[in-house]
Amino acid sequence: MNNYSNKEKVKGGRAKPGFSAQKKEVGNREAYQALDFSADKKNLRKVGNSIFSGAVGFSVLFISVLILLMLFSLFMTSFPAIKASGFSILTGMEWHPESGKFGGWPFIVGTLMTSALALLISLPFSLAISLALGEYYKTGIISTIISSSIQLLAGIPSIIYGTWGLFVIVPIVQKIQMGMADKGIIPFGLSIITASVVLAIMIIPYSASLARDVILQVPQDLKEAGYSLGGTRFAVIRRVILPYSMTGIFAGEVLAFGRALGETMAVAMVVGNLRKVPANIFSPGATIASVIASEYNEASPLHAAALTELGLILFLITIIFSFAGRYIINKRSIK
Amino acid sequence: MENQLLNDTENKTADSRAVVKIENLKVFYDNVEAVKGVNMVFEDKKVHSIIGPSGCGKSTVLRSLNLLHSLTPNARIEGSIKLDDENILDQDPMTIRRRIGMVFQRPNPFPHMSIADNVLAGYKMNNIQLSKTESYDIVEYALKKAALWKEVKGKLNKRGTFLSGGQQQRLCIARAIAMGPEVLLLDEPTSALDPITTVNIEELIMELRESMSIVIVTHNMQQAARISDKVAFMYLGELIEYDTADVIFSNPTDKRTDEYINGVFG
Ligand SMILES: Nc1ncnc2c1ncn2[C@@H]1O[C@H](COP(=O)(O)OP(=O)(O)OP(=O)(O)O)[C@@H](O)[C@H]1O
Ligand SMILES: [Mg+2]
Repeated sequence: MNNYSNKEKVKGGRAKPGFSAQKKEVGNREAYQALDFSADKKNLRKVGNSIFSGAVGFSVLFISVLILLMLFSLFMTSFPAIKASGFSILTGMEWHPESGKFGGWPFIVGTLMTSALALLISLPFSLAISLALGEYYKTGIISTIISSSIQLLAGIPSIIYGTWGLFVIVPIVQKIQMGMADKGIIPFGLSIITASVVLAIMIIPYSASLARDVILQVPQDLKEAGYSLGGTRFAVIRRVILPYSMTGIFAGEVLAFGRALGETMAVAMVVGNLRKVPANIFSPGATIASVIASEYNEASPLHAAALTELGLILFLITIIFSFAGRYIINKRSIK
Repeated sequence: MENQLLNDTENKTADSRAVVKIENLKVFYDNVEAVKGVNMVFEDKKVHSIIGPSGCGKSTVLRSLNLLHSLTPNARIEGSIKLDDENILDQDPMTIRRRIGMVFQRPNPFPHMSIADNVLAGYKMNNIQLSKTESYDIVEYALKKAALWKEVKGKLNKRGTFLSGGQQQRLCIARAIAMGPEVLLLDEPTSALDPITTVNIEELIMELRESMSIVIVTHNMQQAARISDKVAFMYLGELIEYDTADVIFSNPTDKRTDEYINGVFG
């Protein structure tokens, strides 16, 4: 900041005369050199520009077409199921492939429930981590330790999380469930909440790293303004840093939610795979991704088509949430 | 609450007295001495300018008055700064900052807050609960004092960032004076503004002078001459000369002051 203002003042013409004249000469020489090659450079730049915009245009088109094709092929593959029972998969409560009943509502509920809960559980942790990295320890050993462990967390394979969930979270949930025996809950340990806890840990890196980036970008002069008014650090975080970076934090949450919606392996291992709408968060359940993973291999053609239809629904849910998130971000963003 | 605040600022007696005494102030950045034993007195109802070439330590002095040096991890401070005869360096920064307000070089209203909330930001920062009427009174009082009321009274709930640069800077002044400070610090408050807006801010400073002590850092010599009662010339971390504006601009004692004012160096 100081450097910047210093430079400005030199430009403003209050530097020593000798010094500034010298500077001007260098500037002229540079300008002269630039002139010599300017024609060539301009052409090159033009070609470069058109190649670049061509490449950008192509990749945008390519990705859009790819998404449409994916949607189309999902639709085609699931067509037998759609033909057989229309879109009743969206509302049907019963999933019984053996008798041709394909109601997907339990899985839709299971998916939204686990993801939303995971988001809720992870939020305080990811906020704390992002504040630690973006405000308290911007550099140094602590920052390095935290951020490399977060990176590590993001790189751990799904199956490891699932296994860890089985050995660590399941017994804890079992203990809690035992205390709830009078509510008709069987202490399996496999449940919606088990999956949510595992998911929460899995998505922390996504929301935390994005939130850290936006918190780092809060202008120093706004923080100083907060302090200059007598705010404590906590007050500055609460009244300046968090509100200022709200949209960015929200964007991170949307990203994390999208990731949670589609997470398959770890969830399939701990959610219980019960094809029923979960009565509460301690009941076992299933998600769209987990049911596809656990049933697809042994599915009859119609069953497989119904599972693909579920996949199509998951795809659409993901798209809807990401668009809604983008819309809110655009609408609420500062500046 | 705000009544007390209004009375505080309006009932001050006419005779001016020393509010801030800087004694042998030294500020180090990583053991490099940026301010080398400065002594200065700021009085109530007077405008004090600090001038000097870039990097001479003007901002450092001003920021230490607001105790902002504690936000810079490599900064260390020695000496004393007395506000009403108590050394602020030993006191709670949060309390002191409410009594010594600060306006920065770049207008920095909070972009996520409405105009009214910007004015009330100090109260929010300090978790002071205000009733609706109290809030409104403070907003009106501060915006009127900052000569911004007429322009924004219809859009108090709009965001402050839609205002022009000069209006934003006046909003920042309103935000600082809403807390009823005894001293107002301004670090090159007009360097990012056009000449006409600059004149507006200067007029505003002259009005605020009626009710508080003002310390302003400026690179604009005419500005210092126009608004100051006293002018301090700093050079390489030292206070070279501190006297009335008349003396500094027409008859300075030190050769360096004379040279700086006449544009020989800078
Ligand atoms: N955070 C910092 N760390 C290290 N050195 C600093 C820091 N802030 C300021 N300095 C140095 O302290 C000296 C005084 O800086 P200061 O910002 O007070 O100057 P100034 O008189 O306000 O200059 P300007 O007119 O450019 O604003 C300069 O040499 C500067 O490089
Ligand atoms: Mg400065």
